Amino acid sequence: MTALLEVRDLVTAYGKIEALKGVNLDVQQGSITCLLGPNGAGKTTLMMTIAGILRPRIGSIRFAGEEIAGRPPHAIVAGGAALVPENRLVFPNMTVLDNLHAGAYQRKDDFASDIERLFTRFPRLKERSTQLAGTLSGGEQQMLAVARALMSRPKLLLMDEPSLGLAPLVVEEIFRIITQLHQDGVSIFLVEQNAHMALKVAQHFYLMEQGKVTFSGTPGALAEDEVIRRAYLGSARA
Amino acid sequence: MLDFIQSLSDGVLFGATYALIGIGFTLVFGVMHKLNLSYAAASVGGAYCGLLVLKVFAGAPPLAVFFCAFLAGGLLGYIVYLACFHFIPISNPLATLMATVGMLLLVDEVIVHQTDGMPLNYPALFDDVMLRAGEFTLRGDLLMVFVVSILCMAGLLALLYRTRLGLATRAVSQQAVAAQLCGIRVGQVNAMTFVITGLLGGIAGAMIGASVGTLSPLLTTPLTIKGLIVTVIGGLGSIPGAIVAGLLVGGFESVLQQYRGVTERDLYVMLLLFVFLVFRPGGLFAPKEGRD
Repeated sequence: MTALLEVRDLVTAYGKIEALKGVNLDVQQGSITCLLGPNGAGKTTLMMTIAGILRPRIGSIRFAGEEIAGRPPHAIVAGGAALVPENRLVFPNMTVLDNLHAGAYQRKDDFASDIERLFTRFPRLKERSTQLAGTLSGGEQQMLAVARALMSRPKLLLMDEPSLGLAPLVVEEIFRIITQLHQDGVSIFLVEQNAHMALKVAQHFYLMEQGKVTFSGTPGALAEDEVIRRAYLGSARA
Repeated sequence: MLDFIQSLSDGVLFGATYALIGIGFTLVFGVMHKLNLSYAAASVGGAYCGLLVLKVFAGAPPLAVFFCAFLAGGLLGYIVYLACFHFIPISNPLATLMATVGMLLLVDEVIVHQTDGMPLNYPALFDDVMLRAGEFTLRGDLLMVFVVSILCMAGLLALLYRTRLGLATRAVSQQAVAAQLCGIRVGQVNAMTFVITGLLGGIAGAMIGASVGTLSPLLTTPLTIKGLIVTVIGGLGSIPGAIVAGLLVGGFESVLQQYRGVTERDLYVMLLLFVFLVFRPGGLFAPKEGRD
């Protein structure tokens, strides 16, 4: 397997405070890779840096063989990596359909069939296609945020805490979607607080703490390691 | 009663220009969450540039003057964007605000120096037309101002809701980070917002010149204040709000001019603003909650 995304010695800082202090990790082509860690570990900063919203101070991000560190967000979307941001960030006063159109902003080809396909995958969005996105429930907004990111036809889908603030049944629905997307061939890099769910779907995980990757492995190994579980994941049994 | 209806209708027709100015303030605020205080002055500047057509082709039709004002307004909008926003750290809220104050003063000074501070005649269309219904009259030039302004607003709404650029503009105004994640270039959208509001401002300035009959540098300050009042009464960031508030303020000031005279008129407009700030600070169309 070749790594689709390679992050090396990445440092991102807010002023003098380094949120990422030399991060190294790989996301394999065709995998679900999961990034765990407590609040404030720098997980969102890493996602925002990969997506180009934040500029790294030093380090390298190679995506599909190309160096993308420091490139603007539109170049990274064009290159085939799309981020579903934390808290979903749908366009609240735009219709569901317009949100999807915005997701396809860079595409010059006809994307009507993509919308049809996404509506088959997310029937709730089809029912609500003319509704304003701000009126959707949290779970529906999360589906819309995923669908909007998929409109750019990404090779790599970056997802930042897709289960945040959602009811358990909705969380299961979201993870079912993640698994389906993976089966359809999309590589997924997932940040999650809900370690229990994330480790069920992921093939590989990284643990991040205070701006550094402190542990990596495959889900089985972590499950056996009660120390790590207690130290980093809290009540992950839930 | 007839006086009341007459002054109200005159005021509402003229108020369409206030609505355009208000839209300019509110659109930039909606997209960038910044105030562009130079907007009304640049709009008057655009209207002055329209007069340049008469210098080149004496006897050019008023439409050519209006069109030139329209284009010059757009160009000035882009210059304001470059000078006050593009190269200035946008994260500092005061820096851009003060830059636009500087631009307001600069435009004002340029106009004063170029015209020696004297008012210039401005051409109008249909100024010899009067529609009468008994005692009630409708001035042709005011009607033209109203129709042109409404057409501009319709054009703007079509642009915002029917085009790719409009989609990007709405996306940036609602969620700038998500817009970037969709591949929208925020800088480009910001620049285009200034060009588009500038185009509207050029027309607004020309329409004000056409209905008053003259342009004077004394217009810039009151127009800035009226534009801001319209923006606040309508609700910061709301285009329908700016339209309704523009017509409201136009009608209101015209009626009070009729009954209380031109010197007292602005006092009551300020009072109207005060009432809104106390009882409905979000304006007529307060933006919905739930944005970040």
